Amino acid sequence: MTTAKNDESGQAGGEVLAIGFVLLVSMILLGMNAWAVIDAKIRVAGAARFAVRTLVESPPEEIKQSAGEFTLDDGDRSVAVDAVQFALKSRPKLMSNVRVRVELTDEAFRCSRAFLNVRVHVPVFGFPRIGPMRDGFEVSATQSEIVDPFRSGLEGTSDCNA
Amino acid sequence: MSQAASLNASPNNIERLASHDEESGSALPLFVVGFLAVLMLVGTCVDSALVFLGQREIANAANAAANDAVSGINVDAYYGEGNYALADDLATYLSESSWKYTTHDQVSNVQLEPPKILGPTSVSITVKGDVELLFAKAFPFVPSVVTVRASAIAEAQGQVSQG
Repeated sequence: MTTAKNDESGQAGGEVLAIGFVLLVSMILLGMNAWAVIDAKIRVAGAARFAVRTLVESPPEEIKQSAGEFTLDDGDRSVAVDAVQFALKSRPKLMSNVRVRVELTDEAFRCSRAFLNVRVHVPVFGFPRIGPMRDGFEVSATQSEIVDPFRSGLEGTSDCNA
Repeated sequence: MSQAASLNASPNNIERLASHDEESGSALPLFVVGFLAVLMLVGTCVDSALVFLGQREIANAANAAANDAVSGINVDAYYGEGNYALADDLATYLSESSWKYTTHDQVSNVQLEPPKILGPTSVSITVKGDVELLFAKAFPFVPSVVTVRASAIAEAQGQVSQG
């Protein structure tokens, strides 16, 4: 003889499976999105470091040309933007919306400090059919370095303490 | 035949129902334990990633400071005698200047140790800082702050030419 209690046997397990599956998918999505941001942060910091290093060793006219804000789509490319694009080449998804901003502390090139900021948009993974709950994350990194005072082709003194 | 009568009549049924009653609700603690296990795994991943990011940030900052510090040479010796020799005070000034302009997102309580002049053309910079963990705070015997440290050595290379 079967009782009503026996009919419900295993129901809790089924519910736990359903909730557990949703929970597992949520955790996987959380992990994927978190890692995407972390990966982007590492890539962007590396790209900014590489680009600012390239910038301070570039010819003076290219350093001048690099000041300002650019995207990878701009026609008038600077050496800094080229360096960022080269550094991010291994992550094509990050290159859809990259902005590069370069600032120089002064016009006297030797020992002037160059700031380079890179911003990228990181897309978000969402539930299938539901989609992401937000548009994405913006990840940025700023690096700075002084223009190499002992390079040829620059005006001014090499004394960075002056 | 009523259910009570059948239970009374069959002791096996009583045992079966009693054991069934003992198992009722057993899925809930399993679910909680499973959820906590997944949460701990996610927490470990996130906290490890924070430490890794902090370590990368410190390493980048040390690289930048070392690259700037290696430009701090004794100008009088350079222009007077053509010798490339790092000046301790200028290397310190430049590394601190680099440090001042570096932004720190993941790391707090950042300390820049004085640069060590390793030779006439090379300098070593060591930086350390604290990374605050997110999930570790929930556990009493786990440190919630991890100290990260990075060193970078920069060496000036190439021919010295004046003029």
